[in-house]
Amino acid sequence: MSYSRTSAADRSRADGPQTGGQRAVERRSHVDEPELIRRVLDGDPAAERALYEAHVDRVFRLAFRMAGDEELARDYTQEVFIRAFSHLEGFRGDAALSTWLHRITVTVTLNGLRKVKRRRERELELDEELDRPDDGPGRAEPDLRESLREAIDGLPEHQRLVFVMHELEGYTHEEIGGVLEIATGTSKARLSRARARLREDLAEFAEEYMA
Amino acid sequence: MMGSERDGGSDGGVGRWIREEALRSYNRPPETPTEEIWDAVERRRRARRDPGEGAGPGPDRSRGRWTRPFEGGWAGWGLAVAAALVVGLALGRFSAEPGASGPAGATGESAGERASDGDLYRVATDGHLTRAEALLTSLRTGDAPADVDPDLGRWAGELLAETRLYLDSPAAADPGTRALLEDLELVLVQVAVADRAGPGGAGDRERAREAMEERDLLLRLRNATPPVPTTYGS
Repeated sequence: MSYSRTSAADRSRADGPQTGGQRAVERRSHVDEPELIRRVLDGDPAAERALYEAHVDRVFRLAFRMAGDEELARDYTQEVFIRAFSHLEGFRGDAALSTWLHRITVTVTLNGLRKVKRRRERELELDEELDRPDDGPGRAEPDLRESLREAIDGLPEHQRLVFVMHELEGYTHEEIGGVLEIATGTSKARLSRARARLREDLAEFAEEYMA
Repeated sequence: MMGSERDGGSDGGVGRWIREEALRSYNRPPETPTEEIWDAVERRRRARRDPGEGAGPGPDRSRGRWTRPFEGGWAGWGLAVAAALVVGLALGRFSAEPGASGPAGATGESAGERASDGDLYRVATDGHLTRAEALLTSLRTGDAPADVDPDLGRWAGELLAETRLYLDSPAAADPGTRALLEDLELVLVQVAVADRAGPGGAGDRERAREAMEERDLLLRLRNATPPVPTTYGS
């Protein structure tokens, strides 16, 4: 089974001026996946590195888009490959290796972010109580990008994930379905709801900016 | 083809604007730090294969992950001193323990080589949990504010800072220990808040007691710490 390139045009568009995604696509197109996996399982260090290089960019980008923090994204990416090498023997090959890796990426990232969120909420609760901030003037009106960020961050997790994967990282609905183990139609529906919610939240900003 | 056309629906100008702006600005990834991540992956994999190398699993300490608990600000130097004392005591206790070298000459290893990071963290964590047990016992038995140790809030604050340190350390790698530390953190927050509220903190103190009872925290702390000193690593 050869590795199939999917959504190369979309991915290059998602990358914009960046070429990391394109380089990764080019590397992957020359790799025979089952052979690579076999060599990795045989303990070939060069094969391990080749597997890593073929996928690290997309894994890191997805982790970063979700986490918004480089240190977290690095940690999650590390964890993905640690797990991948540990469990590669169990990879059955019924999906593409990238699908399997991105599934691990989503799991690791979402679990990690939930822990971070819980801890930050607790710390904030205590800090707010201890510091007793005065109820002074409200914070400045958020600017456009901040509002966009808040709107996307405010999406339900399953909608934000599909939005990020499809709109920002160029995954097709078929790829998303494979990674999240949902039907293609479900992926489309979640994206549609995410878009509708963002349009509603940002209509005022968008119209002003577009005008 | 991205966007609405591929999905068969019309997204309109606003939707297109949102998508383009998000592409430009929402958590836009930097260049992938390929080599650094690979080095960290290799380090951790080597440590798993050969724990004697000392690289250890867990966060990449060389990037200062250990400094994160210090970013909280208010614990500051006190936290650093507490952490150093805890780890130093654990190291000193282990190395001084008679018989810590285990079966003499069995494998030719020294006590230092056999003492794993995991054992040291366990010793330090046990000490921490024992102190937490003492605080929670004081909380539980103090029915009226006057009965409660007047230093309880400060004590809770110090233990809270240490708990968060342990949560960020390999000590929390064990799921049971992690769950215990997280529940402890929750209760300590409430105790510290109650203290700051002064006389008005009775409600918070009561909530802390309720949280402690709901989670069987005192029982779990007692079960988690060894009743008698043990020789770790043997």
